[in-house]
Amino acid sequence: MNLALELILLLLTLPLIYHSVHKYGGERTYIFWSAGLVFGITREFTLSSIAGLYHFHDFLFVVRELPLIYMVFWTNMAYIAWQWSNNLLDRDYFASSSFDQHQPLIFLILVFISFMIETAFSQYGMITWNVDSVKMLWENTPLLSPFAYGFSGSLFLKGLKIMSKHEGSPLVRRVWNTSIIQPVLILVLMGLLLLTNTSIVLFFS
Amino acid sequence: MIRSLLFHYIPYGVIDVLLTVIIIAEIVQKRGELIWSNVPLLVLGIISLNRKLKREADESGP
Repeated sequence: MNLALELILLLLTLPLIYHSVHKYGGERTYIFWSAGLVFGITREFTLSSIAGLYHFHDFLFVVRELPLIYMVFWTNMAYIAWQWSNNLLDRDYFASSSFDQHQPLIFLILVFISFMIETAFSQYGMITWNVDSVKMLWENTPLLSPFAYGFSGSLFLKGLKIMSKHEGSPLVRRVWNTSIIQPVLILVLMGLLLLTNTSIVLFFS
Repeated sequence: MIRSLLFHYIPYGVIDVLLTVIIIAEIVQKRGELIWSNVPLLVLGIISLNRKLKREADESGP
C-alpha cells in the first residue's frame, strides 16, 4: 500500500503539469514547480530533521532521508487548492486584491486535504508525530497537523503571488527570486506553528 | 465539449483518485471510523466543480 500511495502521489503530478501548461503556459508552470521543489525540500528538512516535529518511516522512495514525494507533494496540493478556490470564487487568486476570500478558502481546502492524507499516512505508519499535544485527531496525529497543511499551502501561494508581480523580468531571474524566498516562508511557517501549538495547549489545558 | 470538461476535471480527478484509493484502503483495513475524514474534501470538490461547470454552461449559451 505504501508503494501504491507513493507512486500515485508522484504520478498525479503529470496531469497537473499538463493542466498548468495548457492554462498558464510553460514558463509559469516551470516557476511554480521549481519553487515548490525548493519549498518541499526546505519544509520537510526543517520540520522533520531540525525541529523534529515528525519522523518518516516506511517510505520506499527516499533521497537522503527525505521521501521523494515531498519534491512535488506541496506544489501539487497548493495547485489543487489554488484551482478549486479560483473556481469557487470565479476569479484568479494571483489577480485578486491582497485581502480577499481566497486565503481562507485555500487554507480550508488544505485542512481537508490533510484529513484525507494524514489518515492514510498514520494508518500505514509512514509519519510519526513527536508533538506533545493534549488533543489527537487519530492515532498519534496531533491537532497541529491540519494547521501545518493550511499554513504551508497559504504561505507558498502567497509567496508566488508576491513574486508574480515581477513578470517582465527574465525567466532565470524569476525562478531564482521565487526559490530564494522559500526559506523565509518556512521561517514564517515555523513561527505560525509555534503560536498555533501554544494556543492549542493553552486552550485544551 | 468533452475535451473541455475533462480538462476542467483534472484538478478534481487527481483528488478523486487519491480519495478512492484511501477509502478502499480504509475499508480493507476495517478502519471505518476514519472514512469521515474524506467527506469534507469530497463535498467541497463537488461544490467547486459544480460552480465551474455551471459557469461554463452559462457562457456557452443555450
